[in-house]
Amino acid sequence: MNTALRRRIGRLLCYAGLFTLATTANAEPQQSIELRLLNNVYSGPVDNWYWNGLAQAIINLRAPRNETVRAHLQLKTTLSSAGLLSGAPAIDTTQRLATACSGFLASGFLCLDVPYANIRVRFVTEEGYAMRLNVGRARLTWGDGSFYNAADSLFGVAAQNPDLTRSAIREETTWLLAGYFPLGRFGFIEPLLLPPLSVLTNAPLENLAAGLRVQGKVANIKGELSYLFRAEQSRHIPALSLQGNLGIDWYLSSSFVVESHAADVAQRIWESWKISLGLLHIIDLEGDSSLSLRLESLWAPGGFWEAQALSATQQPRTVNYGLFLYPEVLLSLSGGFQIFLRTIFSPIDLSALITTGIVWQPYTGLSIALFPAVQLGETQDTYHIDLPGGITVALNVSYIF
Amino acid sequence: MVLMLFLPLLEIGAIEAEEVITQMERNQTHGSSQIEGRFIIQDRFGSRESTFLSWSKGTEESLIEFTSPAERGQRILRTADEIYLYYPDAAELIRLQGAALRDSLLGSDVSYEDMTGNRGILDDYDATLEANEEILGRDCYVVKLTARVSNIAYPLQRLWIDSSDFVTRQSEQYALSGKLLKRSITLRTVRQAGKIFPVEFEIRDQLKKRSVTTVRVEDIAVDIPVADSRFSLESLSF
Repeated sequence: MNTALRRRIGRLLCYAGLFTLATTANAEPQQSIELRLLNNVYSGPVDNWYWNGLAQAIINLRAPRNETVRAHLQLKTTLSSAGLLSGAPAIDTTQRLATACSGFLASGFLCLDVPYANIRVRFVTEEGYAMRLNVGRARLTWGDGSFYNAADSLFGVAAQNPDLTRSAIREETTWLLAGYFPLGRFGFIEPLLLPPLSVLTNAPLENLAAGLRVQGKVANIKGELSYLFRAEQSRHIPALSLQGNLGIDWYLSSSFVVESHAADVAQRIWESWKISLGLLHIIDLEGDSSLSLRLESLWAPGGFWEAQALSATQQPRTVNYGLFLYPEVLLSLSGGFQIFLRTIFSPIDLSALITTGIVWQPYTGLSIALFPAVQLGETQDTYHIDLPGGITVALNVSYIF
Repeated sequence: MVLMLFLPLLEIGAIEAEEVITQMERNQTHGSSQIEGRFIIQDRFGSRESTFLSWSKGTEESLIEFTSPAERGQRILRTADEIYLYYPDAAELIRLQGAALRDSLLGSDVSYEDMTGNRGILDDYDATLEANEEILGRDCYVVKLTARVSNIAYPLQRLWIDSSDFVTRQSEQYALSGKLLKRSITLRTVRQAGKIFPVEFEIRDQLKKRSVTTVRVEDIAVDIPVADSRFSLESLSF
């Protein structure tokens, strides 16, 4: 067993120990298991087709309900297999699986991850308000936005490795130490430390980050100001987020990066400035059906506003184009049916990733879904049909119990 | 809280109707409450259940927390004019205003809007006593409610209120056109703290075929101390 493997197994045992400590004082933990079975058929770059089967178990253990201490451990295991259906092999399917694994790749086919291992403690004041401490691996959502969120300094302005078939598109987690100080009923201050964890992962101390956000409501508009300092490259990231309703719900977020060591600080601010604007409207249809319309846009004033000719080594999706759009249409019908269309559209190079979904939830916890997806564009565009997954059809069955 | 879900489905009219409404509201609203209950949603494909805990204070503030595995940790905070949703998987707070309030709660026959606007019925409606009618073996006042304001979930309602214990036994909600939208029937009541109120009722959306939502209160404590901070973003996201 190599050192890295021992460390990782040790880390898993630490999570289990943390959770045991948090729950021994009380009865049995609350458990839920989500079992997902996914089958994908997708196209490769040279008229070849691949098959990918995936069985995923997400085990959630939560401390029994308690007004002052809560603990959550989530274990995610993913067993994958892949094969070539037709044509000559042109994709390293094992590497593709490894890239998709955000945790520990136990073998070429088994990914283990612990997205959540956190304890939240609440200190109640005489007035009944509570200050909180959140320690461990968890998620915090800064800013507003379903797909594009320019004020999300923690996980980025766009979802990383987005899976448009999921109901929650942004669900990355990180190690953190966060406080929470209420400002009345509808406001709070949240100081945050993202530790470098150099002991466990050999990550350099430069990975440390710290910040603060303040949220409140004025004149029916929710406002949020945040600031994050990342030691890496001495980056300072201020952000602003606003949300309100003018007949339709709207949300606006913006941020930029100040790199104090950059050669041209002003130029870096200009290039990094991002604005995301989202609009959401839900139309009530007959029979308790509804149609949800969402349009999100990501603007980079200092980005490229013309399609770029890429170098041989440059990946199309790394180009900082000036505008991206994310339209979403979701039709919810009676009987637990949902039909949706989600698109990531790059108007600068006129390419798009279009994902449709038909979801049926006939019984408690059960979901059966079909997701056809296609990439449209020309070679060197952000999206095009010759990229792996240019055409994808996925059948997913999941059950929570 | 669940009783509040039922409240906008109830109402009454005129001088006598006002008295009937006052008696009914006295039964079915509480200074505060803590409830443990369950939604049972049945349609042509089968049955889905969700369990919840809820707290309420006055007529405008409530917090509901789902405890069933598929939705565990999801919470809904209702204040006077808005609703906040909390999804633990995304650690995300969503604020609902406007048309989004009409969306269905967990695919049931209850909308978010059904959970709002629980101020006094007579603040929003003109009430008329239409008749006495026996329903479910009980003699009831039939009260027609006509909305005085435009921004309201149901412009017209009709309530059947028990003439002896002032419990709403049945209610119907109509669109402005007069089309029947929902019908609710009380299945079970309980007597507590000198009041009689529904603890189990079914709601049928008349626009959906073979769909019925049953709301069942399994444990309830009324007029208990509940701190204002229970209805805060902090409580919602803990």
